Amino acid sequence: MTPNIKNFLLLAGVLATILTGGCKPENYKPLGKSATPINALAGTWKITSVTQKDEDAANKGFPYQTADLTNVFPYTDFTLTLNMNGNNPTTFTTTPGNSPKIINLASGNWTVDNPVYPQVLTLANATDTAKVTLGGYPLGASASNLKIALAKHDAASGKLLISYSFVFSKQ
Amino acid sequence: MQKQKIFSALVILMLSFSLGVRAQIPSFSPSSFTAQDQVTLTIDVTGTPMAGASEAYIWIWANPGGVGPTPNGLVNGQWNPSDPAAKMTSAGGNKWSFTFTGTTLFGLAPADLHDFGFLVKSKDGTKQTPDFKPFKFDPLVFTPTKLRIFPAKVDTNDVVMLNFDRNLGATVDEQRMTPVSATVTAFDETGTQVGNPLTVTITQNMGTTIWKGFFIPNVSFRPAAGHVLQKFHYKFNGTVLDAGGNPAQVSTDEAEIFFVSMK
Repeated sequence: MTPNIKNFLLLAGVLATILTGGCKPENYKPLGKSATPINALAGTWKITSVTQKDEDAANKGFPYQTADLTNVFPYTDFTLTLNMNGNNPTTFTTTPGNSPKIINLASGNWTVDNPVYPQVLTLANATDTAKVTLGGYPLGASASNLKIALAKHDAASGKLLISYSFVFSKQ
Repeated sequence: MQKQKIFSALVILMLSFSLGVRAQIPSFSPSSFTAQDQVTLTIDVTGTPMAGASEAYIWIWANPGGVGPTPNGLVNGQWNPSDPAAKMTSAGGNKWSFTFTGTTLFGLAPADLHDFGFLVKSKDGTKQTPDFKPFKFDPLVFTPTKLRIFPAKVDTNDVVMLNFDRNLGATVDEQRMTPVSATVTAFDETGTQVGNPLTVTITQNMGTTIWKGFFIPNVSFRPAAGHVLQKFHYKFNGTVLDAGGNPAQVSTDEAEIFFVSMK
């Protein structure tokens, strides 16, 4: 074996030792418990913004597609309280004040379509039911905002005609 | 005699040409339709390679006029073979018909659909007619009017925005008036007026000639037990200066709106 080859093997051995010795598993901290969107829904929410959309006009590309109703009627009086028992939805109450009744139920029980990542909230009492769609979970930077959408379809054709978007702020 | 023969030949030639051309103009039922309406097209394929065929398939595509996306009809399938959904219905003789709704057939929003073209073919594509195109959908164009509600269709529990555009006024009074209020009158399904007319406060849209006011029908009008709100009338009220320079009360025409049942 020539000196050059000896030197090469020696260098390779040193490099291998350094490189393998430098590889150690990092001690990452546990991620912690993941956020559960449904828990973020619990609390008392008050309306801060109301938008009405003519879905038919938007579909046709017409002008006049949306209207900001926030200050047209006293919508900001309206509060919605969602109560929970652990991870389970229980009761709700609505307090319209002078606001138009966006949910025609004073109290009852609320349920969700998906217990972990809900999209549709069903509010019901003994005689009536209202379904609203969540526009986004009140998590992270948006933790204080709850967005709810209400869609209205033509009773005969099922065609979407109007939608209302409500933004609530946590109290 | 020679002239008569030539004349007869010319007449026959013109009639043949006329019939041939007519055979390639489709008819539509209804005659006018938007991209959201169902329509039945009927085409006579006499004089084309499809004449005498025992079955026919449509090959249809959107916007050959050059505006908008140009997808094929969702029923087309492959050129060989056509999808069974593209099979046309015999309308007798060499006539074939096909029923469709533009938005469904092309999977496009009405705003993206301007016209369409089609041809008639055999299932395996070995025979076909020339292209028939373009045939326009009735435009879904917004037409400004002096009186307008937003949204355009409302139920009894919706927030209704009443609008008056003075620039579109039809009379001198409407064009000159300074609007101050709107009046709404509601009716039940028997045509009976419900309660008293409602006076709606209005405001002018900044920098426009449009005034607007809001109301919620079932909050302002309560029909008698066993009855329901069916429609409402509305008009805008204002003042103009008369010949003596004094303010005079005037109103616009009334518009009638029927509620749409929604769920």
